[in-house]
Amino acid sequence: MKILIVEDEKELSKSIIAYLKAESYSCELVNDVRTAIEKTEVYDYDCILLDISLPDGNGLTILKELKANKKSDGVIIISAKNSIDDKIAGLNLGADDYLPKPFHLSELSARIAAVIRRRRFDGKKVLMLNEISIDTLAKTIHVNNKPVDVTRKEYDLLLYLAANKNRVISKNAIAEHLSGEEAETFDSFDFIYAHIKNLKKKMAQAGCADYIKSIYGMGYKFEI
Amino acid sequence: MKLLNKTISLYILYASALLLIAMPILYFAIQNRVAEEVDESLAEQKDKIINRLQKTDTLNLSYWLQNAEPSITLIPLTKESNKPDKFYTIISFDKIAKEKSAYRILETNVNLQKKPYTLIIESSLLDSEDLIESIVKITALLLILIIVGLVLINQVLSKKLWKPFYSTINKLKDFKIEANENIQFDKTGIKEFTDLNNAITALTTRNKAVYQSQKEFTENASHEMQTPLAVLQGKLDLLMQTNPLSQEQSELITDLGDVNHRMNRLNKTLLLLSKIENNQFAEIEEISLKQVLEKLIEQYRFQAEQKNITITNNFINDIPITANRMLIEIMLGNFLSNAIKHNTLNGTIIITGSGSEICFKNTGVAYELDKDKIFQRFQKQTASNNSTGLGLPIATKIAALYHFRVQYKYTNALHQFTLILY
Repeated sequence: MKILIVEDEKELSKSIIAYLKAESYSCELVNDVRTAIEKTEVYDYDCILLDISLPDGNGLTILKELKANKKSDGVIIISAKNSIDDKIAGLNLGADDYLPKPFHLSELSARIAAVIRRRRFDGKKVLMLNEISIDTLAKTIHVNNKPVDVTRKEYDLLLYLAANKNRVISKNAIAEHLSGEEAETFDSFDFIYAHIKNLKKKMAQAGCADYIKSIYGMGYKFEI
Repeated sequence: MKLLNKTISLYILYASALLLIAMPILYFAIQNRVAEEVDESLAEQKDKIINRLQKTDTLNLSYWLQNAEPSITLIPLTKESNKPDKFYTIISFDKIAKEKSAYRILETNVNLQKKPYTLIIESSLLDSEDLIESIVKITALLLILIIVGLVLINQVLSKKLWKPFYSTINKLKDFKIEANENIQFDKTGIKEFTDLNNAITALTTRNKAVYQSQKEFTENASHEMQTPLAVLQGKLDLLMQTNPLSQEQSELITDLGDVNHRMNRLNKTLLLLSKIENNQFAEIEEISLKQVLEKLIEQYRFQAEQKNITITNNFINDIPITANRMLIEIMLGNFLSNAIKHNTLNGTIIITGSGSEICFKNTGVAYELDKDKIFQRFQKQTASNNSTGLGLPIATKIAALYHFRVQYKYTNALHQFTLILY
């Protein structure tokens, strides 16, 4: 999986690369519009992480170039501006997603996975993890080919954990992911605990091994 | 009182006083002047009469003595007198006019045919009552003319001359510092008004510039904060993946993560506030408040369940409004999340919608909150850690944007926030 990161903030791109490397993505980094366009003309990427405000112009020009060249690379805009206009303009220009800064790396990773999944044309929309299979199209979970009756939130939670497998996800990141962008998240994380507990119970009942580990009250990890 | 009326009433007062003082002065001046004239003509007459008398014979003299001329009286004297000429005024009854009249008298001694005589010549004076009457009439007429004239001039002035002034005032009343358009004045052609308008234009332009840069500063500051916050978040996420990780380190990372999370939220909220102030939510559409509220209750259901809060939604009749969907969702969301956040365990939330208002009632602290403070930024009335102190100010800001009003009441142990739509 090839990912192009177009981001001029060095420390942030370093963190992103470090986090994504463990996911066996190969990351390339550029920090201006000109080089980004050069790169996209020559290579195809599975996903492009695109910052909007770049030293030599607006990141949206890269999107326009991609569209003009009929390229179908997946694009996630990562912007500090979080302006609706930018979001709408970006999505209209063919971006797949819009993630306002600051974000959790686990959230970014999950969104990249989702974009790559959506862009795959071999019909493989199912995520396999040992005995678990997550159908991202039907939004269902099967354990040993038997369906598990989970709520929408529990499904989201498992998918999020699986997309960041073997990585610790903080409770804050999970709370934000589950609440969605609109809702204000509360600091009381009891509700995450409740969701995790319910999910683990249902998975165990379906005969699934216990993959979800709590890490010192800091967060959770899907260990596989 | 209008400035014009003030000046006009002063003018009228001054004119009246002046005319009142002028009346007696006029009276005495005319009286004196007339007397002087009459005296002169009497003296002239005297010379002429004496001249004629000295030329007449005895017969004619007796004719004179019989009062042949009504205004001339000749009285023979027993002995010669050397008294000088005497002028005086008498009031006598005029038989013809049937009223008292004033007469000026000249008394002089003459020797006619070697006999002494007293010659009395009289001339009627102006009647003082008539004079007073005329003077009063004329001054009264003058006064009326002055008042009518001033009032008319006043009306014309206030209509024509002061028109630019009133138009300036009306424009100032409509002036909004957050509006985009600048204040525009018509050309007046009058120096004072042009000066005033120029001064106001300069003032408002300067104010707008200051306001604008203030707004931009908040927005830019919040934007600039996002990147370092993102870097911090990323590093924390990476730190979490390091191995080995002790319990102690994990707790420290969690604490840092929480603080960072709060900073993010605060920054996002500030950004939202400045965006609302910058009118960056211009798109409007028809919104069903009932639907928005139902969606929000569903969104916050889990948070409410955590505190075992019962939400009763008595919002039955829908209120359709035209507004920005995101802002309305944020506004109602803030009311709802506040009602959950500041609620007690096993508390209740009652939402009612009737006609033109939506009311959020919730259990909470057992005392009334400070009405003046709750709508201000960063005013936390309860010791809640996860409050930014910006929820209500944002909700009220959005409400104000659409001319809604927000009221707070504490009745029957329920905190009550009412959103009045119109």
